Amino acid sequence: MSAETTLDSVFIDIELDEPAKSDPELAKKLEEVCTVGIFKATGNGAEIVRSQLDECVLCYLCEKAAPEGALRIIKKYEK
Amino acid sequence: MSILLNKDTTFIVQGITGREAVNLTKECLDYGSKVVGGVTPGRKGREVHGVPVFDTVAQAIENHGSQIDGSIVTVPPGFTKDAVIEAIDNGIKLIVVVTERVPRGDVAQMVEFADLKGARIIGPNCLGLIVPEVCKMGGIGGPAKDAAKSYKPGVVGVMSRSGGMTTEISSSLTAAGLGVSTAVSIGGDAIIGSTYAELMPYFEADEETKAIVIYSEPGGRMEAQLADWQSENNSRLPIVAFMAGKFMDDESMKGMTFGHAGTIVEGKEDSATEKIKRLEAAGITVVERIDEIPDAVKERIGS
Repeated sequence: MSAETTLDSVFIDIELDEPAKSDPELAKKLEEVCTVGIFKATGNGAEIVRSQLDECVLCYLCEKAAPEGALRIIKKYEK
Repeated sequence: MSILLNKDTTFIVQGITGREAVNLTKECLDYGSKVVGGVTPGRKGREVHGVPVFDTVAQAIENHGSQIDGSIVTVPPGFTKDAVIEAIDNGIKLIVVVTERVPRGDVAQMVEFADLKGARIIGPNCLGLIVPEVCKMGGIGGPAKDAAKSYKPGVVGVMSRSGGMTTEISSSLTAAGLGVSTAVSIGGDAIIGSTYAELMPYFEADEETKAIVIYSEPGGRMEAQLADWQSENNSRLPIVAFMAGKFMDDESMKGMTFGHAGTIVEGKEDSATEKIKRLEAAGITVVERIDEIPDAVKERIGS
């Protein structure tokens, strides 16, 4: 499965807005707080590892770590 | 006393005609629990160990003549969410989900619905809970005669991510004369209905409980939440923890997995070593071996 493949069964998605997405410090923080490896810090900011999305445990630590409103956990089952 | 259960607690078993459910129904009845009905769609009119079977939760409540307190959900993973929502929609406030491999998105919805309706879910992937010599709800402790040996009434509240270890720890507390107030197998999945921190206020309010013991594993945020809860609340209850899986922190053991779905270590913070540091920083005693638990509890409560 490629890193960009998203299965129908994945129950969440994550949206991270600019400029937060390109903030290397925030990227490091997100990589650190997420216990299931959904964020990867690159030199250019945060990359969302889509293949890990279905491991989310809804702890909301990423949402708390990001500037208010910049990161959203989208619960697909609410649509 | 106890938390969540008492001698008057009534409950049903959803999926009661399944193999595991038939066994746990007998175990609960033998222990003295009030199993007042079972539900399996299409099987209305049958009996399981004398317990009447209905097609729906509403029929079971109607037959009982008053609100039923709890439900043990044992249906297959694909139907678990519907079963839990049916129970909650019918006013049931305590749901023990035994089923393993429930899709994570379904669990998230079940837990949110329970929060919305003021219900409490224990599990999924758990063995339930027990108040010694009063009531057991689930397969916890096994057959009644075995449960009676392992669980004696006492002063320690037990919470465990492993069902089997709930009994192992409780047995050691019973043997040491401390006994158990209530033991809860909280479930081994990554998302569960009731975490350690969420159950702490119940134990805090229970006058008989003098200490808490938790069995913990690598993976997830539950121990961090408990440490935060303990630091933020002026709890009267000392906590003793046993952390399994320290071997997973060894470089040569990378990739080793536990059986529980929640035991996935991705971040540094959810390794056993980091969790132990965090628990200890919050004043929680972490023991090296299971057999050290009773002495550690006695030391903390000064008995």
